[in-house]
Amino acid sequence: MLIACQDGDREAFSGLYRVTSPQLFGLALRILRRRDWAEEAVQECFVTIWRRAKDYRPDLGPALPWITVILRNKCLDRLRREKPLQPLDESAVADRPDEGPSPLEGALAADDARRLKGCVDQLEDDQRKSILLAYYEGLTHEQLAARLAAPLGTVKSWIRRGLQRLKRCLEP
Amino acid sequence: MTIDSDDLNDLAGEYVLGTLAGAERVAFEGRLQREPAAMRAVASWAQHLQPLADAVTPAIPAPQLWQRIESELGLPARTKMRAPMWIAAAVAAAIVAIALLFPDLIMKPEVNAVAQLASPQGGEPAFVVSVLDDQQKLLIRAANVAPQPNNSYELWAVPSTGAPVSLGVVEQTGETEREVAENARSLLTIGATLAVSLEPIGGSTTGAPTTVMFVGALASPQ
Repeated sequence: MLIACQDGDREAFSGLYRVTSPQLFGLALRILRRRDWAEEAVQECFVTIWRRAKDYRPDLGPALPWITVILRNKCLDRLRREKPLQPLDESAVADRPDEGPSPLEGALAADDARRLKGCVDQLEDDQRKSILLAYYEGLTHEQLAARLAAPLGTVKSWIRRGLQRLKRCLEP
Repeated sequence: MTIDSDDLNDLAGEYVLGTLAGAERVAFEGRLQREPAAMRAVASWAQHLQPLADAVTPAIPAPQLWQRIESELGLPARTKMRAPMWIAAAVAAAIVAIALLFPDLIMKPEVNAVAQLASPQGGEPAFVVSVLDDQQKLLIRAANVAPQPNNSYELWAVPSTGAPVSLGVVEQTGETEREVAENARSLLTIGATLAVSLEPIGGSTTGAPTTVMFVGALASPQ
């Protein structure tokens, strides 16, 4: 009986992988733009999930957002480790999924997605652009400033004001 | 709301967004270990921004990735280890979340091509073969097949030049799901011919099809 339970739990971990890995890998690929890096990020993410499972607090919210934060942090660690040394090789980006600037445009009609999209749409252009670039490309304040050709302080305030506005919109 | 909690919310938002970098991030991660309010703020932002993650097109990682995770964790297939209880709940929640957001992911994985294999003399298709996940996987459904208890059915890719390449023995009833060997993936393009042959139990012993029973061409789905 105990063995059956133990089997079930291992099964659950592999089930979690089967169910969530396509979405997590898609996100990692979107941020890192390289299959090998994206696979390593997903690997590190699941290793952390297993080891830090006790840190997850079900009373604070569902598991998937908790997992997504872990995955994105792994992706950002990788980006920030590699980027100064090795600028993205555009030829290695061939298997990047073909997506526009904001996948949210194509988001499905789930309630949460619709609500977030509504709130993102209410942001000022600069706020929206900098938040989406930060989320999907993992850009730092400095990189955003370079990309958007704006002073660092301005970019920081776009992000901060944009997030505050999002929060007010999502939690009226 | 106090100034402190506003500040905490801003930091938590930036942490989840990923713009909190370097020393600021390290400092915040320290607070996250100690302060329940910081934990709550991060959990709330994580939930708010989750639809951004859900909106990305899913992609299938290499089949070996799961083995790499298991071996890094020292969880070889035969070792019994106890997974934390929440994972079972998380799986259930994740399945529901993903089924809601991505019904296609659960109901039907991405189908690249479909072939209906029928007798060359015509008639109803005996097998329906779906090519999934960028030629990495096959789903073979036995639709209308005479059972052959003393033989096996074997699936082949038939290139326009060169010898047929075995895609393995398939079940005579129900569905067979199968990874496609690397060298066969390029053969599974639209228009390519697939065939099912009748073989001794366990498959062809010669490396070539014995008696071809059903053939069909891969077409794009719909």
